Amino acid sequence: MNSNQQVGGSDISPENAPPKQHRERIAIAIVAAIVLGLTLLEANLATIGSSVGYSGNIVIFALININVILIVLLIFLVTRNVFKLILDRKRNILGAKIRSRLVIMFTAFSLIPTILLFIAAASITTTNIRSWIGGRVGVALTDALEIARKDLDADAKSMAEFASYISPKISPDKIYKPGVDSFSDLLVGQDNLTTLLVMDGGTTLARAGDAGAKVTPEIASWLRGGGGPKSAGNVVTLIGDSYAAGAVMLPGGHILVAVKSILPEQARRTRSIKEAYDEYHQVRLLDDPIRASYIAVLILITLLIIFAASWMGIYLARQITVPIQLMAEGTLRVAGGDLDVRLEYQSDDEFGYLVESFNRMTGDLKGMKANLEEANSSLSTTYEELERRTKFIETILTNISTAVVVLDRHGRIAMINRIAEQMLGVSSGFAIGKLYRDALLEEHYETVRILSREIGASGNQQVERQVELPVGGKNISVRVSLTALKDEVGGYLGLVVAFDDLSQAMKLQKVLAWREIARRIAHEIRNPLTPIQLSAERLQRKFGADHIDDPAFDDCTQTILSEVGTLKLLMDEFTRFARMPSPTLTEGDLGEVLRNTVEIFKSKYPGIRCDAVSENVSDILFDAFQMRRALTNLLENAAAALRGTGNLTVKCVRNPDLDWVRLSVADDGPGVKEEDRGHLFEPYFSRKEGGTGLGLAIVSAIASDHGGTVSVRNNLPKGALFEMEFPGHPKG
Amino acid sequence: MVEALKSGIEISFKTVIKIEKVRHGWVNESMGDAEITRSVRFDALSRIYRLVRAGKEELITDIFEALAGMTNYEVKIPVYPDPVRGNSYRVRVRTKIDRVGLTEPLRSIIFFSSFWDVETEWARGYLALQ
Repeated sequence: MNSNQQVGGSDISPENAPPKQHRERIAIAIVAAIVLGLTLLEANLATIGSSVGYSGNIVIFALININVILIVLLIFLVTRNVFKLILDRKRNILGAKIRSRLVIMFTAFSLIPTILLFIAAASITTTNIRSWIGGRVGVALTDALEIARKDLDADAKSMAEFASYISPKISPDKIYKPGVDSFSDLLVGQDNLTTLLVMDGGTTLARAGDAGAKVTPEIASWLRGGGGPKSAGNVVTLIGDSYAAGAVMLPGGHILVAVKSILPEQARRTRSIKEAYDEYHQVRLLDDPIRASYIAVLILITLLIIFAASWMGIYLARQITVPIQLMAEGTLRVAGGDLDVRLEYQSDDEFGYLVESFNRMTGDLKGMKANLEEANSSLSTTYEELERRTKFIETILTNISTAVVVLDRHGRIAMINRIAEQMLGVSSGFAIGKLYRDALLEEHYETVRILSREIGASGNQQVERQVELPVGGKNISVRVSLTALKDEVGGYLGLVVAFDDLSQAMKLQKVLAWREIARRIAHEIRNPLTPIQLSAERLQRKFGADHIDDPAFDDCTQTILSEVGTLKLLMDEFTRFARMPSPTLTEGDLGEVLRNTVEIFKSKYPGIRCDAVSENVSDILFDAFQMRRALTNLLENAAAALRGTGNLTVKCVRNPDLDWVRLSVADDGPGVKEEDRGHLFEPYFSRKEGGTGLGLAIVSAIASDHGGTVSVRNNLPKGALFEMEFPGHPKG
Repeated sequence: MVEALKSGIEISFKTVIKIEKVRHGWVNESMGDAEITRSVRFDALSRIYRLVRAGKEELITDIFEALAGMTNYEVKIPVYPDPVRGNSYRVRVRTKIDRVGLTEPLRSIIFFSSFWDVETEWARGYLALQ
């Protein structure tokens, strides 16, 4: 496995510090190499050990000890790795479990055959040694050695006999003189393997024949060691690997030795037998140490294999689990939303390909996420825009005075606005999703049904009718319009049903009619009033003195003048109502108008507490004079209801989205009776004693002239709430 | 040991002799020493013990004679400084196995066995000049 692991900045790299791990690997490799090298060296030194002497083998012992120390070191390193693995597993470090499984598998696969081999080898070794030393080998070797010895002993005896035979023929004077060859004559009749020696202790005095370089010194050693004949006539023999000798003592005390050299081939065989014999007995003697030494070597080798295999298992497991661990960590980070993760692991094997695929996948995911976020952002913007539009439409539908009901293609109510809820007397929660025939009142349903049939029959997209419909317990004039909704290809989608309350418009028409009447009345009545007034005054001036005793004259004329004055005031009011000019709209601060009016009102009615609130009305298009008048009328109306004591709240608020201004006056007085509400803004309708019934009609006219409306409802918890609504900046 | 010798194993003894001047309350002064190495090997074919002493080999038929040759010493050790009458001197002798000659295949075994780890304690004797 050729891997090259790198450490990156924010990227995920192999967890363990590579230098440390690398050092460990190098240490283990060096230890293994040293163990191997020292073992070979020891084996070599052991071969020459016997020649250098036992005490000189200290070096070998040292090497053995070093070897053992190194094996212990190897065991330590492997054990340390194993403990580290166990610790990682307990800490639930990613990859520790699979790594420990792999190590166990590798170790088991190496342990089982190694132990089996060890047992087999130890058994075979023991069996072989025992069979060798306890079998017939010893007997055979002993017999072979005995045969060789007997042969040599026979030769030695013949040599001894030969020496005894010729010893009387040896004259010391003759033999020992230099240049005399008579000694060699004694060998006449013998083969060329025979040698004669005359020796004095360890010194050779005379020699005939050649016994070899080693034989003579050995015989000399024998004689020195006291092995020679001790008296005349005493015959002794000596055998060696390559010779057989017999010796007799000569009369002069010298020793005559007859030596027979053994043929080289026979001598070699004899040596082999002797060496085998020696080895056999040594093995027998050293049976236990030999077996112990073999088993010790086997144990060392087994341990070495086991720990080397364990370490190899750890190494291979790490090679396998490092990319897996990286992948697991990377997957966790990706699951946590970090798509910038990149695994730094390079290898030309499948793991490298896997890591590369992972990196490519995270890159793709990142790109897809970016695209998705972009699409989501776009969708969100679109949704917000749609939401804004929907809200805008809903706001419009909520705030417009037209009641709107939207039906889908199946006739189910899809939407109903607030005004429609009020007008039709149904709640949106009840009506939405229901068929309109189930949700609406019979009269309302019938109207819509008839118009929808008409739109279906006519093929027009819109129809409208003015009908009388029951609203709030009374019949009012309503304009109902149906608009068919169609998609781009003309497919029917549903209906939009709009109910316009025409009562306000009719009121306006009434107001206009009343204005005309008022104008004519004022014109017709005002004209004769002045002559009447002048006539009455003339009567008082001309005839007052004559009728000084007649109080009826003065009372009548005063009454005429008084009533004419009242009629004039009434006509002025009529004239003002009839001649209300069109408003002159200028941009100004409606709040300031409100505050000023309220201040004047407060000074006039100190018993009434009046709070004024205004918001966003500093730049409103309005007629200040008319608006002040309308507000004054509303306040006067409230003051009349409160009868000089109570609380008033005046608010002037603009809705910035709709640019719609609402001016409200709320009191905590007795409120307005339900039956009076419909007529409250009609001219000449008044419940006040001495009221002209034009104050609220003027308010209604001003609101209408500003493009708005005025309404009244109960104030909670008590009192009445008058609301005048009009656009802040009316178009046109 | 005899059994090992009979098995053809060559056994070599190294004897160390040290002569010291006894100094009471202090370390003895070394005056001279000698190392004597003797080895013996049994020849199973000729049934002769080959004793090597003083560099010369002797063939001996009797085992006791061979062992006696291994353990009896007559040595002259030069000493310095010269001994003085009245002083106390000490001789220490120690013998240990110097070499074990095993046959070729068995030589490596000795590293795993304490069989040959033979060394005597120091034998001490006191001398005085007459």
